[in-house]
Amino acid sequence: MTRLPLRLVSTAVAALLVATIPVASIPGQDQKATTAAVSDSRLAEILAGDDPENLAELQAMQNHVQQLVAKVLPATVSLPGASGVLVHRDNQSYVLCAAHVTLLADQRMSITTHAGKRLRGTSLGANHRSDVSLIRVSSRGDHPKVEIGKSAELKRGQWVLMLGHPSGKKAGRSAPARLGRVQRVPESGYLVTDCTMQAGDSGGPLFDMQGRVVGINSRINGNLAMNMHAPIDALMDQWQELLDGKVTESRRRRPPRLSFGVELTYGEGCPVFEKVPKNSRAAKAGLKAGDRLLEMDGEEIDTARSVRRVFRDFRSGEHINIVVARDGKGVELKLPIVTE
Amino acid sequence: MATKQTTLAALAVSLAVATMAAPLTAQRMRTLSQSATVRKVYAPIVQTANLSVVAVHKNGEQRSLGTCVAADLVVTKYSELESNTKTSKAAALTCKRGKDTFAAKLIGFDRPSDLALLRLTDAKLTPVQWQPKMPSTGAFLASPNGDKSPLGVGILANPPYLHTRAKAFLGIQFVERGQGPAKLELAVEHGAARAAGMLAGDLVTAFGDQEIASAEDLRDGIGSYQPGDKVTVKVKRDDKELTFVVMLGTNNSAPQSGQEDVWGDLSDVRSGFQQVIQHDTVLKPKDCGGPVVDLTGKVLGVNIARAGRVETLALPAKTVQQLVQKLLRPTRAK
Repeated sequence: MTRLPLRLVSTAVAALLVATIPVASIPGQDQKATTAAVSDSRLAEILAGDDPENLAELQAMQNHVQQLVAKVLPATVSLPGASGVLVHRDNQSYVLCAAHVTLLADQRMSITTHAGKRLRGTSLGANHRSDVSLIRVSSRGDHPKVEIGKSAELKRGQWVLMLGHPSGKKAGRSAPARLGRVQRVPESGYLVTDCTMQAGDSGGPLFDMQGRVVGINSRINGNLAMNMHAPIDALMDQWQELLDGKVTESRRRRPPRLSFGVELTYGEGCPVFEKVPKNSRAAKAGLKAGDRLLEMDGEEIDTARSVRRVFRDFRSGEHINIVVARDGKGVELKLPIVTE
Repeated sequence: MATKQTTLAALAVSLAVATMAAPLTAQRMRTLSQSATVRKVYAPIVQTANLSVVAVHKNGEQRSLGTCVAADLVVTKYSELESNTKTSKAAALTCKRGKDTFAAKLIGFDRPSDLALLRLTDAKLTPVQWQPKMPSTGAFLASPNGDKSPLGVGILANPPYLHTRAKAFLGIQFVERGQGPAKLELAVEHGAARAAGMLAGDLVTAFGDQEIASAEDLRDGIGSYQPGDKVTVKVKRDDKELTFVVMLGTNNSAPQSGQEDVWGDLSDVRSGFQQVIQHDTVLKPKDCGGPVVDLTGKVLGVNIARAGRVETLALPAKTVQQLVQKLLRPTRAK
């Protein structure tokens, strides 16, 4: 498993950008008047995942994001070469962080707040499977904090804000804010957004538009739109274990190879399903021999590597949306995933 | 040939599917925040600034974007114009806006800021409208390139800050450090030395106007320059004396192994600036030199570097205005 500050995965894939959603007419330059025209309910719709459609809506969204940054920035902290976020629970301050940052329990941690205050802390447990960890803040005082949200409630397309210290904390630079959208909410594993992160952002928070932390920055790959965060639910589910200082190692054994249960032949262009046995689960899901695999879960497919890369975010037993080329037309299918 | 056709056919099919089924389209977009749909909403915002954006070409090849600061004056990213040209011929600079092409002349540059000032022949372009007021963090920004939609959108990542000044780097490793001869064990990939044609095994004998007797001499020599400076280097290779002109890079010039793939192309010169605005718009190095606007459509600054996977840097409006004034003043003779 590759994580941000340690090593970085390299899997660059050409981007496929398609957009056909019609844009509504755009009002004129009278900005103040038009800002008022965006209702709270419409703003809530946009923040929940709608595309803004005009200047007034962009402005309403901008105002919201500016206020949000001001609200959550004070609780965003830096650790040497990494990031974290302050929360309160049972009258105690904690820093939520990534397991690959704190690594072990009972380590002394040096925490620097947004205001430049140094806090002392001790690492508690770490779960290297979900890449979440906890630090207890021992310095007294009324430290800033953020609320904790629910990652299970996130929806694809929803706008999110990410903070952290790319390349580590820089003097005079506050944690750069990045705005993005949820790209993928898998049933298990990483939450994916297009908030571009970089080594040093690890452990930093991902917020929903209410300013609740919903993810912890974990890892990246060659696709700038693929930024992986540990879902906050994974941390909260293990709160007691983490509090008790339990360190869970990542699985050492190789994860099982996933497939469609039918053979894919790689050659020129997109891979082909040359043989699809009649009684296979893939055939029952609509796959036919001769189908060419174009996309998996929205990702363009060309090589065996790109297929493996998409499977990495799935588990056996789940279903995956694919697009195949058949008789010159694209066909959308939902195939079950099996272990090879 | 067959491969190409197959791939194209496959792509055409996948695009067709996306166009037919609008609800599915949203699922397939690779980045939702900077999608064409979102960027399109910024079209009326960048309309005015678009009048002041040019594409800067050198010998017919686009090097960067340029921002028009007066009817015939354009600022752009200096190192993208100068970077490692192999031809020694005087380069023909042109600026293109729409169908118009103007001959351009480099009339000044500021190395620390990596900003070049060009004068265009017979041009009556619309200068940018500067935004002197810095909005608060989280402000929505767009980077126009003359097209209807901006080429990227993002947010102001933090208040402007003093960017770390970087040391100049040649991108080499010595066989022996200290008093040993300045013999190269390695010219780092993507480093300045390699780009200029220097190879492992070369023995450096002169750097600029300094004679080089040891690795330490060369290290000190490099230290007296800034990133982006061009230096003449003499080396001995197999009893032959060779001369190279090297444009010094920054300590970030050679990405650590493996990071290139996850970061994408970065600007050669991406540090040494003073005040910078940082935003999260993903730009290509040759997209630098153009303006970045806020939602009022006014120009907050000039994009100057893609400095990391996420760190896009711009020089603030005030800095650019001051630099232009400085570069127009006919003081130091070059």
